[in-house]
Amino acid sequence: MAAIKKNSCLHTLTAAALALPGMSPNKAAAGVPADAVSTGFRYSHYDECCNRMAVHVFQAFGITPLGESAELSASWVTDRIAGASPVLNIPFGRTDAVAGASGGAAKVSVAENAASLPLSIAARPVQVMSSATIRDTRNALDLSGQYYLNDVTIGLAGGASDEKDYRSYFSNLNLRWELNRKMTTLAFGAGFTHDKIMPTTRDIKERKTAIDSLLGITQILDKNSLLQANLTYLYSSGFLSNPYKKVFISGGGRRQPGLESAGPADIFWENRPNERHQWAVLARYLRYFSDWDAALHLDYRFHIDDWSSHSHTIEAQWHQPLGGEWMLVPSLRYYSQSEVDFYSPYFAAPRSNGFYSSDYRLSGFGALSGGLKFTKAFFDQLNVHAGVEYAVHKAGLKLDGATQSGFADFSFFLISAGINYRF
Amino acid sequence: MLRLHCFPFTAMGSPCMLQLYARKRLEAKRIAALAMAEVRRLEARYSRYRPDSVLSAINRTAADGGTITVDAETAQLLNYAHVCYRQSDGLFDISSGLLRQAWDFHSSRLPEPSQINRLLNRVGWHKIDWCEPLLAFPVPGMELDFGGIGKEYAADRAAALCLKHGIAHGLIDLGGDIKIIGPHPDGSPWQVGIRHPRHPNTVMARIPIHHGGIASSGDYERFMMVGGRRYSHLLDPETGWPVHGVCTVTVVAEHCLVAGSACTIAMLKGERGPAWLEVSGFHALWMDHKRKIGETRRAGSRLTPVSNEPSGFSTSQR
Amino acid sequence: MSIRNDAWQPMPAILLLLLLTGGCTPVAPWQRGNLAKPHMALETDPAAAAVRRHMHMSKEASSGGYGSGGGGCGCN
Repeated sequence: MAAIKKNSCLHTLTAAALALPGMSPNKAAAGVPADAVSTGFRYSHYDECCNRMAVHVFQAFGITPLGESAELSASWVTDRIAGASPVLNIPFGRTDAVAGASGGAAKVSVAENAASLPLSIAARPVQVMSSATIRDTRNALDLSGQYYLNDVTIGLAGGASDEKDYRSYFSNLNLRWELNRKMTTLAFGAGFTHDKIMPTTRDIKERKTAIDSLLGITQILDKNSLLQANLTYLYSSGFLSNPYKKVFISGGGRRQPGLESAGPADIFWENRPNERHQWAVLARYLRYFSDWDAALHLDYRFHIDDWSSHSHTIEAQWHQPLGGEWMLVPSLRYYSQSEVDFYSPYFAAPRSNGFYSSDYRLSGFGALSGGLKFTKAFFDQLNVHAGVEYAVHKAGLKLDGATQSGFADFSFFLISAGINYRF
Repeated sequence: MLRLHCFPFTAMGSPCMLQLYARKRLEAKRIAALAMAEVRRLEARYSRYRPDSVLSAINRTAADGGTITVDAETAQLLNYAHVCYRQSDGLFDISSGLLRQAWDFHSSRLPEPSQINRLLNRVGWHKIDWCEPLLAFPVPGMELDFGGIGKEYAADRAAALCLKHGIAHGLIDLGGDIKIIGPHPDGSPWQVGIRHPRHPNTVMARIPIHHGGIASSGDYERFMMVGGRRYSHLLDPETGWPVHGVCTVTVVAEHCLVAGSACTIAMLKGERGPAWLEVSGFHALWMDHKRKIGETRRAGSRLTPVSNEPSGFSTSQR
Repeated sequence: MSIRNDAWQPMPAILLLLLLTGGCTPVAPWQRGNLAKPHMALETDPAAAAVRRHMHMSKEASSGGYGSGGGGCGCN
């Protein structure tokens, strides 16, 4: 409070000066519209180990100023997906029952650390992969506009994403408000997503909707550091199951409502609740080190949902200029999630509420990744970058280490290269 | 590739310079012409020496003791002057220019106290009725001027204009009142030199600035020495006599206008100037009569004292 | 009149700050050069961030924190 009294004269004169016509907001502030047309292209290649998924990602994007206080941006993404994905885990010895179920030559791999399974019936469960013919292309277009008022920025975005078996429409509105002499920025956002699911191997058509909201604050701490804190809430409803994933339920599953047989006895399509509430808190800290002209970016995210799972994500990036317009960015990321309450590699007995999933994404696991990126700028107009990231997903990397199975264990790498041009 | 383009010109009785980064000289020239036109527009409106200026029209009314309706821009400048008057406890007074009639700094002669007292009857912003947009002068023979406001306001306006036309890196210098549009393209700050009050061809310190305005005021601009004592143009509107306190004050603020009025107020406060800058929350640097350099706590020793460095122009690249 | 209004104008912002960030020093615009550097932007490479977030969203059970954007996918 003392600070206000102390500054009153500076504040009063500044406020009086701002009343004069044509006193510009400062360029150092966050909310400044683009001042030139720029465009960029980027190619990324995602590859999971052991011949699982491979994705080629092509991105094109552009931004253009519209008058003096608005900008319009557009981005296009094409994903080419090919490979296999786990479909089902079954106890060892039942493999023969599955060969027909997965349609063709199913890949069968034996999970490594099955010995630690708590289930009594299974000696060594196996993971059944989809037939090696998942092939799809995803095209997505995203358009957004930003309008800059004095202290407030209003953004509106919308787009669509299209796949053979999945279509998504999304829109969102966001608001940024700069206050406290632009030391603080408050952000509000709300979005709506509507998805249609049309699996190619099943005769169903399903829908899913989601609303999300964001509340954020960005605060300049001192002349070298700033902190951002975001709180997001996501509510999804409708068909939240993965239409390709199956579960093995030993006996009794057939009598449960909402559970659909996926062929052989004891094998069913997975079934998730049709509602999910998710909350996430994100804290981002940026600090500039003048001795090295370098910037440290630290992110921590805590996520929790009403499927009784939660996760921690921590990520660090070091942006190191090397002279001659070169920049080197090493990064590290650690992620750990607990399993949802209806996850199990397979089910020894039916569950009372009828929800089942053996999707490895809902299991408890940890992931550790490291990356390196190079950027080179030419004449303040052209920017070229290339990077590589390698990640290991492992049940054993989970925070409390209590591993259940090795079904979530895999690794992948992501290489990317891109170019940005400013006219 | 952005290149620095410099455009020297003369306006408001001072040497001025625009330093703009642009890809093409033609583009820089076009925007510089717009900025210069803006400075000239304000000069035409608020010059004391031009009979067709808004200020001259006001002063003709003031001489007769009449009432005048002013336009919106002038009204905002008067509001700003009013705030300065109140914040400085009456020291910053746009009606104090009349006292110049008593002080001839080329004469080396002190004025008669009776002459000053006669003038003081017609000095004082509180004697003027300012009720936007009406400006009434109940006491005839008064006179206003926008010294300490006009040039600084012009620097802010010119910078805003450049920014609006896509110049993100550059500097506006209107006779030492400086407004930074944005840092050098590599993000490094402009190094603004502060003139030494006793050796005007050298700089006493350099201040790195990325954004914002900077202005200085000093007893070296116009003064005379009588009996070994320095009498400067900074006149206390209460007494009509020059103030004695610090030799020079430099203030950095978001707006050049605020920096300009703050350093004028600090000079007029005399020995209490540095303390006032401190409690008012300014980033400021000063030199007292013992040639000791001081700065406010907020300035945080970012200032680089320099000894005997020639001060080419008031700014230098890096 | 005007002095009082002007002095009280930043009040709500400052109250909020006291709640959230305790003791941070005011940083004037002319000192924000370091914060304005391109590698001190919250999002230095939005396209790369979009790919990575999409990838994480499709391999992990968590999403959110970074604000809305992009659509769902039938990612396997």
